[in-house]
Amino acid sequence: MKDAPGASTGVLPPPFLRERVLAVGSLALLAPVPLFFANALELLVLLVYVLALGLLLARTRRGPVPRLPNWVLNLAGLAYLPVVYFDARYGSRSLLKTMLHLLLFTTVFKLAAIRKERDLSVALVLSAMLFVASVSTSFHVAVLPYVVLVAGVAWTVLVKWALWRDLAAAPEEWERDRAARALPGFGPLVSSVAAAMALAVPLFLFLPRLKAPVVRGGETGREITTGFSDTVDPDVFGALKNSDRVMLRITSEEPLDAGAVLRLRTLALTRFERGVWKRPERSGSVPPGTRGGVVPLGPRPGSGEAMTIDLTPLQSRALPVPAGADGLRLAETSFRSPSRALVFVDAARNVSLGFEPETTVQYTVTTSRRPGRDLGRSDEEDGLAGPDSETLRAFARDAFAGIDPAADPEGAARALEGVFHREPFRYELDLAPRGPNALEDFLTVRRAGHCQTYASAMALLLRSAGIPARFVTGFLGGEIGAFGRYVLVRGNNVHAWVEVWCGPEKGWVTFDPTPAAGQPQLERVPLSARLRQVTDGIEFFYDRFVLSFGQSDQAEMLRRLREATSGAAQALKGAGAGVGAALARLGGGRAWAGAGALALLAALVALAIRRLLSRARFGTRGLPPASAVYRRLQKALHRRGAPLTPSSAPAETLAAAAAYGRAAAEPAAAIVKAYVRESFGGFSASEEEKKKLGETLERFRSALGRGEAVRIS
Amino acid sequence: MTLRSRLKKLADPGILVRVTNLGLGFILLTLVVAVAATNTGNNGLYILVSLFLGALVVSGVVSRRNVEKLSVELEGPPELYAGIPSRFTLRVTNGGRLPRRAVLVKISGAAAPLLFGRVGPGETASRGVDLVFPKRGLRSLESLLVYSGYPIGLFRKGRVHPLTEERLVYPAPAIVHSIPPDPRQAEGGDPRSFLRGRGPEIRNLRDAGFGDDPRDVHWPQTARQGKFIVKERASEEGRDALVALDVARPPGAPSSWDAAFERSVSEAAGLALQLLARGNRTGLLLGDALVPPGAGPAHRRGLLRALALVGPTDRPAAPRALPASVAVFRAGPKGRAA
Repeated sequence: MKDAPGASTGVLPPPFLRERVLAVGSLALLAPVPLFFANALELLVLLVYVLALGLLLARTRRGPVPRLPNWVLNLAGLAYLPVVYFDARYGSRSLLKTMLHLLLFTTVFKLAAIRKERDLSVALVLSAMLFVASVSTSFHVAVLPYVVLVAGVAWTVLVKWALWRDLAAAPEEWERDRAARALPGFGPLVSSVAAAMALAVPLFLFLPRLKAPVVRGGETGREITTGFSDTVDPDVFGALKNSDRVMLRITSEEPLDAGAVLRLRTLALTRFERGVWKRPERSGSVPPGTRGGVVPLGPRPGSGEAMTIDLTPLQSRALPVPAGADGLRLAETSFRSPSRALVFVDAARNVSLGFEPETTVQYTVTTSRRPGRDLGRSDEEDGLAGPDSETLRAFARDAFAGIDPAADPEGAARALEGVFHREPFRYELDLAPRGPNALEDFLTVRRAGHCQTYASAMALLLRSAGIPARFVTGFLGGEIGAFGRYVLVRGNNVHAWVEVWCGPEKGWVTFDPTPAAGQPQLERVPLSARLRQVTDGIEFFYDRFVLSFGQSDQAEMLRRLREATSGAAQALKGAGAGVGAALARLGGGRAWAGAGALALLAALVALAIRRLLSRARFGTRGLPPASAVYRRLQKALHRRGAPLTPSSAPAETLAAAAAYGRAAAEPAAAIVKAYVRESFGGFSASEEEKKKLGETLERFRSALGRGEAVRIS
Repeated sequence: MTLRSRLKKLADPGILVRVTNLGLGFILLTLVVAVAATNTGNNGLYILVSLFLGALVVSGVVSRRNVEKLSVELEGPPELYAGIPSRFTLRVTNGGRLPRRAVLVKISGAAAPLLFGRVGPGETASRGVDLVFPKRGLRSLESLLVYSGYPIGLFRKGRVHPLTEERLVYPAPAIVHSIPPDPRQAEGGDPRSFLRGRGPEIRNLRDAGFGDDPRDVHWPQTARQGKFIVKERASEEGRDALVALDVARPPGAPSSWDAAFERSVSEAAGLALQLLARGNRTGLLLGDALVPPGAGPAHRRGLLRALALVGPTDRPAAPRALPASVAVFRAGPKGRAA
């Protein structure tokens, strides 16, 4: 052990200073890393911190432990005061970031000026604070492996730290004992950390939750700017379309095959005003049965196949619902209070909650094989409002190709859809806004756009021809899960289409004018993408069951636990009653006879368990060849009733074998001899000998089968 | 193991538990994070609280297991001298099924603990340790404290192993440079020139002659040389020596007298050992108590024992008549006189 020289200052340095500075420095180096990924720390700040700490640790490793003089510390502290002010006011403009900067600054300077034992403890506390800050601000599942990593490093550090503290009066003991320096060792480290983690799981589940869980905040590049809000500008597409974030996880009773159409209707917008689509004015009503029951959406609510949907927050009240859904039931666990579990259904059949959920919401939707038609048509939906444009009307006339839209609205819509599916129209995910004449520009010049452009154009063209149409946003397609019956619907599955009023008999019919290239499919991803799917699934699971885990989940968990317990108790009671009746029958209806039979049964079971537990074990795992064959020999004899255990002496084994005659005794003697030679003589059997031993054992077994034990009384 | 014995083991009062400063800090941190988690609903903090609590439990269980079924024994040399380091052997035996790690043993009175980095199941690890007993007399080590902060130092758990055995610490023998010469060495300092006699000491070996006592045959040499060899014994005359220690404490003696007395005990021990080494049958006169002159290892231990236990008395010793053949060497706080 080499400690920093302290004689010059007259202060004796703490024992194991170098080792402890390096240990706590490694923790401090690791602690703030997730802060950058959680946008709580700028990359530059993190790099400066890592560089400063890295240099300090490198210097500590090479030479004497650096120790800044007091005047430098005082000067740095004073100089940092205005930095705190400017950082909070003009720099990061965030109290959290300012505090984190201060924490990083303090950690580096504290480690560079260790004088007393207490300084080391403070450095350790600072590292712990950085770690706590990192975990509490990280919302990605990657924080879990990070926690495991830090737990492993911290456990190693603390094991040594404890020993360094205990050996403060005898530092030479540390140098002398190699086993102590190797502590904690891989096995104990892994088992201890694993045990702590295993204990942490039930603790996490049962620790009381008094507040709603804090969930992921808006992250750069992940904003959902439009698509599901009350107003949608068809010219502006949300960043969601470019995101591969999993938005919905759908678990289906029936397998969902590749190629099938999975269309989740989220929001139908009926009013077109000043170039913007808007949802119906009235927010809708609360249908009966919404509080914990099945919300009717079709003629046969609650029947048919069920799909369970886990929805991550969309920054919208709207709930995506499969086309043709008959009923919807909200999972109680998604709501802290049953009063919040209200579903509103408006005139355009938009299903929405009374609030924007901040956590993952789970609900179950039932769809029948032959979904009912949407025949509802309110006055508002009759609205045919759209831009008064001759270009549109001319385009529509050309597209309808002689079909009378008033007489055959479906045919006209089909024709228009066909136009958009053909050249020169093509799909282009260009998110740049096109200005006030975007629609005309799209139809006559650009002839390229994304789903919103196509859906909006078609709805407006139909409206210009007098056919009621509405603009619908939602999700189309998805990825069939690698394991199990589930589908992952990502941000890039967001889509827009049109619903057209095709008369009172057919009602609202769905049309999708977007060219095929722009229509996401329900597909199985290639093998190479499966891993990513698995990691996305894990992230979704983490979001749902870890980040969003709250009081309602605990209540649901306890309810299930109670149900399972009472179910098991009932089953036991039933089984007990059955056994009692059977025993009573056995005892000819007399209770005492039944009780006696039960006691006998219990005694037999106890005897069998005892016998099982006391049975000698003749395992050969890890044994050298001759010893393994010898153990098998003992096992064979034991099975025939010989009172042998694995620890029986070779002479006892030989005597037991001799009872089966000479044919058994001879091969047994050869095996015992080989065993003794190997175990006590240190000779290992060659390959040829191994083979011979196997043959000898077989010879013994066959002789054992023929022979009859001679009982020696 | 029965349930009763398990419960008894759990409530074992023999295990000492101490929450360390690090442990207190850790518990405080856990509490702070728990309060923050409850107040914010941040599940990241709940993860940390759960992990910290899990670590606390694991640390508690492992630290307890680490000091269970450990037996410890301390074996010392047969002779201990005050103020002189004596080599002891400390043995720690692990009677458990799992290895014990980072076990520390502190011998009462010792400043620093001894570390046993790893003691495997069923193994015994031993360490040599030099112990110094500052004072003579019957001394006990009181106890051995076996403890460990393993795994992460949140708790320090241990067990005290009391040592009931008392050890007799002999006075440190002072080297006496000016012992009067042995009158028997007048023949030139050769020990063989001692007068012949029937003492236990062998003066010489020689070929057997007529009239020699058969009990004097030296059988090993006889066998080696193929002829009868006999031992020629030295006379015991003039060999008796007595070390007289003045143990009477004068009335009103200053406190420095005690230190001088201890020095004189050391001198007496040194004198007695040197006389024995010179071949004198040596005895002790400690005030009124007399240890008659003798020789041999058992007598040597007897002398040292008497000197280890001697203490000052308030009354002066009664005059005692000693044979003229006995050489008397005096030692005492006032000084030594032959």
